[in-house]
Amino acid sequence: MSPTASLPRPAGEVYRGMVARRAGLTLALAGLALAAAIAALAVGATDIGPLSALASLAGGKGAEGAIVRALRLPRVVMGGLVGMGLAVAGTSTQALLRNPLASPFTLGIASGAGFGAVLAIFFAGGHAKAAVAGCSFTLALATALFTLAAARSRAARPETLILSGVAFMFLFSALSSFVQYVATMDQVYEMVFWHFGSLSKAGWTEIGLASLCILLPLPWFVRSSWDLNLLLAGDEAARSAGVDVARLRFTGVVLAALMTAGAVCFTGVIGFVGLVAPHMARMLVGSDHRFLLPASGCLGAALVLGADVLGRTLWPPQVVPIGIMTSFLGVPFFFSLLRSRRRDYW
Amino acid sequence: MSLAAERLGCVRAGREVLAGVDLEVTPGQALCVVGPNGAGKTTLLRCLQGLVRNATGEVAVDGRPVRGMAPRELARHLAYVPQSGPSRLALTVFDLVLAGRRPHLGWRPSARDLEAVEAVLGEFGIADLAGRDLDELSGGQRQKASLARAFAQEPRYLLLDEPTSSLDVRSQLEVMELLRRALALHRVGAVLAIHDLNLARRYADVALLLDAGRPAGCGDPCDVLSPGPIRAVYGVDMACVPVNGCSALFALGPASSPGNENPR
Repeated sequence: MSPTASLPRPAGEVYRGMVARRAGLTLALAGLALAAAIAALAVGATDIGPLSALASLAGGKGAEGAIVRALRLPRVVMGGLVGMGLAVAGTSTQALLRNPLASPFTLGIASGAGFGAVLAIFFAGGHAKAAVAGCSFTLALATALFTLAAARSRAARPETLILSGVAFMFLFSALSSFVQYVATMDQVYEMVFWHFGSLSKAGWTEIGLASLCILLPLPWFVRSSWDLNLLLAGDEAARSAGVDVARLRFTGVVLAALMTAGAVCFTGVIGFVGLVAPHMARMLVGSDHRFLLPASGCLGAALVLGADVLGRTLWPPQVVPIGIMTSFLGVPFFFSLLRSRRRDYW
Repeated sequence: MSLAAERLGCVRAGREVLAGVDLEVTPGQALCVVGPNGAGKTTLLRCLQGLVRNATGEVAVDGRPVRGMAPRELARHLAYVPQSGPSRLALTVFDLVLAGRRPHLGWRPSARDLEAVEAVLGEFGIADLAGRDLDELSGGQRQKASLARAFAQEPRYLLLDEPTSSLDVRSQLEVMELLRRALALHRVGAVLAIHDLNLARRYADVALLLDAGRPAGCGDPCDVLSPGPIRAVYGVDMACVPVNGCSALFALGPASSPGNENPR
């Protein structure tokens, strides 16, 4: 029964080829993210060439230096951070819940964050930036914990988690709507604007806090790459291969929620990245999380930064909000990849 | 040295789903658990892995109790092959089998890990599928990949839930032949939950017949899975037909229905 006509390449060699390809693609995506970051520094109401933009980073003088360092750099850092965080959180949530439609937002996090922001704007006003961010962070994380607690009796079952997440999503959306219903016109404007998503709220303090939430969980996810791979083979198989499935799922979901909350509380809802960057990365590098996590993080960063560049250049000096732009850019990109595949990839 | 269970029992929602089950498998041996749907086959496999919290009785691998063993430690002793392998995933065969090495694996697989995977792929005749995604494969190929993953884990004992269900007859035989060969080669003992009585008679060393969670027979497959016990447990009249020096079961019909009182 073994093939005799032409000697096939040994399996180990095939695998080494796949690994080299995945590593190459991941590096290429990192390059793409870097290019998007440089473009985002260079482009805007005032066009600065990419080279002089980089030069001003190092300490250029005058207006250009000020624009790049004070206005654009925080924006770029925040955009990259948020894109990466949402993408990594989305990738791991999809594996943890073994569901292609899952994203951190499936667990109700976005609606929790939205309700937090709406509450803060209602009681403290849109100018109270710290209150808005803090309130939305707290409620985003609380929603994720509610979801986990509600599903706790069967915490090992992904479907239960998704269902209870969806239930909380509707609850918090309704609560947000109620507050909007009783709020003043100006407050409603602030609330709606928050939901569009924006990178311009970012200062270095916010960036510091966001990077704490987004960067700290990363090593855990990278270390759990093999466990996530095994989880794709099913809970039972993973468990029998030595993965503590319930613990992995709980820790992973909490950390993904932390990353997501840290991202959305400062920028508003940039939801699409967390769902779509993981899928695009999976189509490119496959499901080995050792490569999938970094690839999807780079792609998420590139997507948000690219959307920001477009959003700032389409109708200058108007800036199209980043949440809207990300979807405008991401959807066609996503469909083109989806169509280029011969078959289902999930 | 054996995988042994004593007086296994489990109560779920006030109902005894498993009671008084004893079994023992030694390396190289295959034990088939047979019984109607809902007889407790899957529960038994879960109990053997120590996954059922309120289970009673004792399970020990090579003399060490399963209860309280750390997952990673248990993984070096027991591997589980789920009913139907992963399907809709862009995970390649090599990735899946390599992931089975996790109990032995650092973050970066060693040359020895890659060799082990290569060897087990060759053993199951799927080396040429190494780079293919699982969702591109046929059911039989997927099942072989799933078995290869379990053997790559290098366990002492293997638990398989319906390894041949939803396979065509050729794949069923191939999978069982490959399994028996690998069990002998690696000195691994196996407990298989299986529906096909004739496959169990043909490939098992020991058969355990379950009736509503209780053992209704345990021993030589051709004795345990014979018309008498089958009629008692399944309510089906069976004929034992001689074929090529051995014998096969042939279902005549439900025992309760009139007209089947006197088969033939």
